[in-house]
Order: sequence, then structure tokens, then C-alpha cells
Amino acid sequence: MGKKSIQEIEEIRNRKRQELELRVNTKADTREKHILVCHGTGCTSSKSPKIIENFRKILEEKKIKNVRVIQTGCFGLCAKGPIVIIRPEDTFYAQVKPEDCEEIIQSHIVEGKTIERLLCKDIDGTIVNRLDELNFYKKQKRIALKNCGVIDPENIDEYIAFDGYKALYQVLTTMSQDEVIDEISKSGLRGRGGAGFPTGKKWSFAKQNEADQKYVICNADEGDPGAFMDRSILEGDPHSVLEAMAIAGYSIGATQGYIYVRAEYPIAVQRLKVAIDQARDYGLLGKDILGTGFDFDIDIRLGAGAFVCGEETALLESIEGRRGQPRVKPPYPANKGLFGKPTIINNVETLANVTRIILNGAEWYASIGTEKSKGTKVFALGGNVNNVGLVEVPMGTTLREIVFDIGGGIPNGRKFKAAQTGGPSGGCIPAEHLDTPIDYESLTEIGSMMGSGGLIVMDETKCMVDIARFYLDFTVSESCGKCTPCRIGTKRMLEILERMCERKSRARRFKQIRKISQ
Amino acid sequence: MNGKAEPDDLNKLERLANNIKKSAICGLGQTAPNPVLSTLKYFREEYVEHVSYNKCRAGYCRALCNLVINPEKCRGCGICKRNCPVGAISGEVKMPHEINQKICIKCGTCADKCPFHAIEKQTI
Repeated sequence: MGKKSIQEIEEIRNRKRQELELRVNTKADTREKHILVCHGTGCTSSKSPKIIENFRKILEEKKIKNVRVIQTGCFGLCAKGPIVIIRPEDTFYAQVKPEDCEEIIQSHIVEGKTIERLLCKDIDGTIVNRLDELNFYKKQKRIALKNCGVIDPENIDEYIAFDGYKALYQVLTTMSQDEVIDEISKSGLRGRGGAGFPTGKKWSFAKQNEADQKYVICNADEGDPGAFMDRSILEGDPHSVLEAMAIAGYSIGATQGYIYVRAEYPIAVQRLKVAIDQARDYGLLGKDILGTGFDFDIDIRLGAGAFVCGEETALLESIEGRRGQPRVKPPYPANKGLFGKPTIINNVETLANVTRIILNGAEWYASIGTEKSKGTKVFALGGNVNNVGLVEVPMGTTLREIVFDIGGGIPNGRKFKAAQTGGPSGGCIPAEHLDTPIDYESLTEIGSMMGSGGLIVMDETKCMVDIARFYLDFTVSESCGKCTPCRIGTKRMLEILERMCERKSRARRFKQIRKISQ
Repeated sequence: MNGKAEPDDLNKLERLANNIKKSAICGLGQTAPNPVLSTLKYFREEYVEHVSYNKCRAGYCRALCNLVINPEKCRGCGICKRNCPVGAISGEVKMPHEINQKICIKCGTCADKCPFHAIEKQTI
């Protein structure tokens, strides 16, 4: 252990890459087998840690060598969890129970027989052997989630094997600060937190400001009800976020980064801690990274789970130790941010795209997506839909494709009524707009917004007035109270909606509203 | 108690929403009325039904639905009858029970207690 030179990192990469070839190549020439078990929050809650423990115990009892049990991040299809995948043959077992472990080892590993009973059934009833045969995966394109479900997130060597920290070295040794920002600008990457501000532009503003200290912040305070994209990225591939923060730090001239993550994500926090320790140990964070003279370190700041702290200026207040309340803009954080210094704040998913852009080039990234929205977007698909889970699709995919082709349609033969995107900031999209391509502009045009990526599908048994009431109820309890319109206005709106759903004295209510709004 | 609201009152809700959109400090406040505005835009008739006709077409808002006992599922155990706080339920033992809609206050206790899930919401 200890600090590594770039040659040593390369050596780890080559050695590990060969060892892990079976993870991505079904024809890999190996005698090993890897049992991958999802250890994301979803599968953990349905006992995946117990499954991992059972596998390891049985393998030890039976003295089976050449089989490794690996915990991974989210595979995406949370509805079928806990998920177990056996590589290199890529067999996909769904809804595995801890007591099934014995059978899997005995018949699959020892006797080489696939267990039909545990194989996943697609929506149309066909039994599939492999993950990528599912309709759920056919229209997806994984860029930000590339490593999720492939590597062990608590092992830096596995991340390095799949081109980890290659982008950082490339940036530090061959590119100037402006070149990095240019590359990101050319790729057309826009903020994935919701507003969609061009990332390159944000970085260039912070770069232009002279200061003795600048900061890079990763916003992992994912507060929307029904959203879990950032959590899954942090749980499945934490190093890609750390590496991207270091790249951002280099390009704007910052030496310190913070990850603001909510304490409700214990697995993500723990993985981040492990990842930061490992990266420091290898000398990939800290002083003089990879012998290039560039210093950059990252610390974690825990949020107490206030929705408003996902707003960038409230987040800054919270890191500074004050109550999380938004600041009036301008000045923007790129001019005067954390502790009054130039700061960039990027969402987890935005950062997860950065290393891929550096390695594959801006043109490659810009070739994916629509004219104004490039790349892919991760959605947390939930609600009344068959395949609940995490999906990543190229921008411009229609809502119909996401709900019906990937999501597998609505359960119980009901009809689609609406889809809610963007959480409490977004809106409901009715059936007549199902064919709208999903990108920042189109969604705003039809009265919703991209938001951070929660996508909740609703069937005909849902009352839209009640849905509006639910979101407003959330906003009212999460409003920080700094400005009157939000503190009082949303409360009054909620009261109106509540009474609509409850049938209480109407005439009096409307007189009251009239009085208030005059 | 059931005074009818004019459709104009919905516009009031809309105006309040638009005012918040314009005047809140942060992005989250400015976008907070979006769920209301978008549902008003695409599902306005549902709002009108709620306000003017006391009707919830999805059968979701309990206060705007009638609670009825499905006679095929009801076994006549009498649990609902015993638990009803206003005595709205009548019926002989082992025979399907009935809810008197004039007395029922739609509290939902019967639906929570029924072991056979025989109590269903019905749009008015």
C-alpha cells in the first residue's frame, strides 16, 4: 500500500483488467467464476447482505476455489431484486432469497446446471437467461452508470482496471486548464441536478475569478421524493465522482472539494469514506497527485436531510455551519461561493459523466442525445409501472419508450394517466404528451421540467388533485421560510387543495381566499 | 355546507401559484407550484369536478366517494357494524351488510377493519 506512481497504477490496471475480463466478456478465457450480488440500498433492504454472507459460507464449507463473491452497485432492475449474476456466463437470477444460495452453488457452480426457477421472467412471460436479453435493457445506454453492477465499489483496484483515474492523469499531464473546460463545453454537458446549466460555462466562470482559494462541491443532497439516481451512482461507482471532482478542481484552480451528502444514505456515505481513504492511500487525492505537483483533497459533509439544502446557495450556508437557507443571487457561487470564495457546485450525475467525456472525447459525447441536450439521463422509474428501477437513456428518448418499452407498461391492465417528472419542482405529463422527446427544453415547454430525474408513473386510479396536494404538502413542510411567497403562499395553496379533497365548507373557503389574495 | 364554488375560484388558485413562481427567492420556491399548475393545465376538469360536483373520478378521495360493501365479498361477520362510530351499518349475521349513505361520515374505519376487504370506494 501507500503512494503509487503512474507506472504502478498502470501495472495494477493491466493486471486487474485481465483478471476482471470475465465481468464484461462472456467468452473470457478463465477458470474463475464471479458471483455478483447487488449491494445497493434497494437490494440490501431485501436481504442481499445475508445472501453474500451465505454464499461465502457455503463456498468455504464446500472448499470451492476459483469462485469469488462480489458486492456491486445497482444493476437497475430494482423490481426484481435481490439480483444475483454469475459471470462469465452472465446468468441472471432474480428475487433470490438467502436460502436459495445452497442450490445456486450446488447446481449452477458445481454441476453447471442453470436453475430455471430463479431465472427472471420478462413482462411478456418469456424466461431470460441474461441481463441484456431483457427488454428493460435494450433501449438503455449506460454512460454515467457504466461501472454500476460491474465493479466492487469498495475496491479501488477494480475501478482502476476499468480505466479509473486514467482521465485524471491525462488531464494533469497533457491538458491545460482551458483545454479541459473547452472539452467539457464542447461536449454539451449540462447540469443534471435539474436546471440544466451548461457545465463548461459554470467551470469557466469560476476559472476566470482570481482567488487564493477555490472550491469544488459535489451536490449529493438528493431530496426529491422518488429519486435515487445519485445515491445509486455513489453506491455503485464512488471513485468516478472523486476523479471528476479532481479534474474540475484542476480546471478551475481549486485544491479542496466537498461532497455534501445526506445522512439518510448510510451505504453511500460509507462507500464514499472507503473510496476517499483508498484514493488518498494511493496518492490519487492529497498533495502532489501522481507526481504532477497538483494538490487536491476531498472531504464529506453530511446533510441532515433538508430538501432546501439541495439548492446550491442553501447548501453553501449549510456547509459553512449555518441554517440552510438560500442566498439571494447574484453574486453567484462561481464568483462568491463557499466562505466567499469562487465555488462550483455540480450534481453527482454531472460529475459521473466527466471522466467518460475526457476519455472518449467531446465529439463522442456530443453525438449522443438531441441538439440542445447532449448525452444520457438517468431516471429513477417508479410508481405504477412494472419494471421499477434505475434507467439511463439517451436524451431525446420519448416518454412512451421509457414507460412502455423499458418500464414494461402499467400493471394490472390499467391505463396510463400521467407521469410526474422532476419531483416537487416538476409537473405531470398527460397521455397526450407521451411522445414528447425527453430533453430540457421539451419538458419545460409542456409545463414540467427535467428535474433531477425522478419519474413517477400514475395509472387511472390516481386522483390528480390529490397528487398536487401531496407534492404541495411536501413543499410546505420543507419550505425554509426565508421568503414569504413560499412560506405562506404554498401553505394557503395546500389548504385550498386539502379542502377540495375533503369536501368542507366551500363557500366560506373561497371567500377567505378572495380576502387573502386581494 | 356544500356551497358551490364558481369556476373563477380555480383561477384564484392558479394566480396564487403564478405569484409564487414569480416572487420566491430560490429555484425550489419558484418551481414549487409546478405540480399544481401542470395538473391544472392538463386535468382541469378533475379540479372542476372536485369543486363543483363533489366528485373524484379516480375514486381516490375518500370524502368524495361513497363507501359501499361488496355483497359478494361480505361474509356478514359484523366487525364493521360493531366498529362504525355512527352506527351507519346494518345487516343480519352471515348476511351481506349495508352502509346507510345518509348517516355515513366516510371515516373509513369499516374499510380498515374488514378482514375480507369487502368495503370499496365508489365514485358518486
